[in-house]
Amino acid sequence: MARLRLFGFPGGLQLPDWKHWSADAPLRTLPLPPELVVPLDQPNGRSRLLVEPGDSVDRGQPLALPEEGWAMPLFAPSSGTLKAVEWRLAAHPDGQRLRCAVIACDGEDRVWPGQPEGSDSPFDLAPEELRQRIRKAGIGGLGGAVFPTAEKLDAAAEQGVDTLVINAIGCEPCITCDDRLLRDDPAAVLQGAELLARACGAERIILAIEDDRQEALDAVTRSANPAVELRTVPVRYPAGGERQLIRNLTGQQVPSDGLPIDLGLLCQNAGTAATTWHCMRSGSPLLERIVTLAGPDLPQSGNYRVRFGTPMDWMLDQLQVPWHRQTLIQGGPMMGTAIQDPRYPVTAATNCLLLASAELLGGEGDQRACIRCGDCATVCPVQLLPQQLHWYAGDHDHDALRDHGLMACIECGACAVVCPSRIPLVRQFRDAKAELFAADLEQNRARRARARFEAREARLQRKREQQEAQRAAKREAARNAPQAAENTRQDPRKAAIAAALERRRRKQSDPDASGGE
Amino acid sequence: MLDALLIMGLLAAALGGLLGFASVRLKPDSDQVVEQINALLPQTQCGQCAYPGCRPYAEAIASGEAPINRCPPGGETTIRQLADLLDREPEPLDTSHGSTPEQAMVAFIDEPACIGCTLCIQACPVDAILGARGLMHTVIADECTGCELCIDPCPVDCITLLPRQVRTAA
Repeated sequence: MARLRLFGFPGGLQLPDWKHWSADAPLRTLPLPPELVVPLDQPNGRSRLLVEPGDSVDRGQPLALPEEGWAMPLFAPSSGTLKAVEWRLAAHPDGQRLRCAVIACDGEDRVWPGQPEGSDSPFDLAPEELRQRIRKAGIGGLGGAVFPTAEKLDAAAEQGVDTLVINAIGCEPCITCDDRLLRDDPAAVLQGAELLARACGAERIILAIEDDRQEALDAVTRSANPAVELRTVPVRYPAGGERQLIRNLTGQQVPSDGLPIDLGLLCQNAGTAATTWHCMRSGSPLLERIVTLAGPDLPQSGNYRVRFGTPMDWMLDQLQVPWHRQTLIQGGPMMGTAIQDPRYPVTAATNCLLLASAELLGGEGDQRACIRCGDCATVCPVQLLPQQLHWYAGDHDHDALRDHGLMACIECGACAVVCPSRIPLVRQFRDAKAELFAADLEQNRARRARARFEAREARLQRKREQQEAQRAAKREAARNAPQAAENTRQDPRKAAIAAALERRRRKQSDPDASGGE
Repeated sequence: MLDALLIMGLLAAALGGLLGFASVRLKPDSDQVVEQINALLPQTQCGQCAYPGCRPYAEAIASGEAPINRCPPGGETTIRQLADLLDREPEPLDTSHGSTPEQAMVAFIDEPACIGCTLCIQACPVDAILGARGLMHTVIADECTGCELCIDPCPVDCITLLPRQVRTAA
């Protein structure tokens, strides 16, 4: 394993590890729950429901197909009956409600007869065919954002990339799902990586791991794959951020308004690679993921294969976790979101379920005024000035927020951790971003309303002018009536008609005259 | 001493003349000002300011005919931005023209009740109502500004206002 030069990235900090809570227990599979809940509304698009309450569904049967935006197809994670479509509070800080399909499982886990055949040798498939199959299998990035993998691959194939980076860095404390995956199923990650590289046309594959994950490194080295370069990076939060990782590996900076593919690179999460491999082999769509369950002094901590749709409260009860009275967080302690409704299910975004007390998370409430120490700017991995943004966010100064690059903030939370005044900076930035977003929407709406108003005014004006012109023409005609009579005389056909009329009138008034003619 | 006074006096006169000349000749184009003001208005075209639309109100502000605090949909934010632009003191909203709605609304036509009279279509300042005489009308919710101008003309009172559904993005 060659130790090549690393370029580092600005900012960042050392965080407590907390990985030992969950890293050492072998991967286990959670049983099927009696009820599965599948959220139908996706953050980046909308989908159309294909089944109705009362329908029976099989494992892998499509429930909804994308309709608009970057939505992905959704599948029934197991067989059973679709009980209802209801609203549940999402794992989203806004307290957004999502439509969810509730499936009562029959426990048979019957495979849908319409499920496409898997391929024993996916490497024989053409890149376009691979991308098409990945799209149909509903595979999304398992790093947390769940961006459709096929969209990324399509863009990469179109623009041309030379390197595929497989990101196996779980830089947040507590999260060990990628670590455990590499230890227990390294072949799938490596072969999935090759498959993804084939699908997007990348020639070089880099697998990036943190240098303290010795067991994972050993496992990967054991199932040696010459096509995949292994690179280790020092433990430093947020080394696993896509842009930070690329900066670290290549020394190149992804522009804040650009994407890694602009530099000829494509990033995929290790879990996505393994999933792609398994799905392409079996023909099954994406139906489960590895979820880290972590908590201090929690003996059940570990990694579990969990079927999508498994309600979080059921999972915790099943594992006999005393979770009541504790904060349940989806994701890590830095970037995770608190779950308000534990009936919400495990989805592709659920990389970790963290049970923690308020003390562990730093707590809030004793916030003090900013003392302008500048520590936040030192740790910011995107080189922003969080303290300036803090002032501007307080003033709702949208122009200044934009000028100071708020939109480039990756919400890693480093600034909030080091803040000696315990200002919840990231929460402020999230709110400010939402505010900017809403202001943009409003601006667009105003622009459209204005265009429509002006178009309508112009149309009414045109109509008024036309009517005015018609009226004027009529007046003109009336005024020129004698003249018109003159004109009639000059027109031979009209003159003939006038002459005939004249003759008839004379004939009627003087019948004797006819004899004379 | 006299020299100094003379120099300063002449200088003052010359510069004053220059400034006076500039203020007359290089006056900002009033169309441009109207354009800038109009860009800050919310474009609901609701007429609550007593002008028939946002642009006419912008023209009235630019000519000094109307105060800057008459736009209820824009509320405090718009007043502040206008005050910044025109270098005036922000004033509280003139509530005799209405108060700022707490939530963005859109018009909704109760379709079974609609008799197809087209009066609302004629009232809509942004052409956001679709329909024809004798046929049901409906509101294009994405284009509706919630100006309420369609509510009064409706002879069967089948138009109500509903909160606009905001699609949150990730």
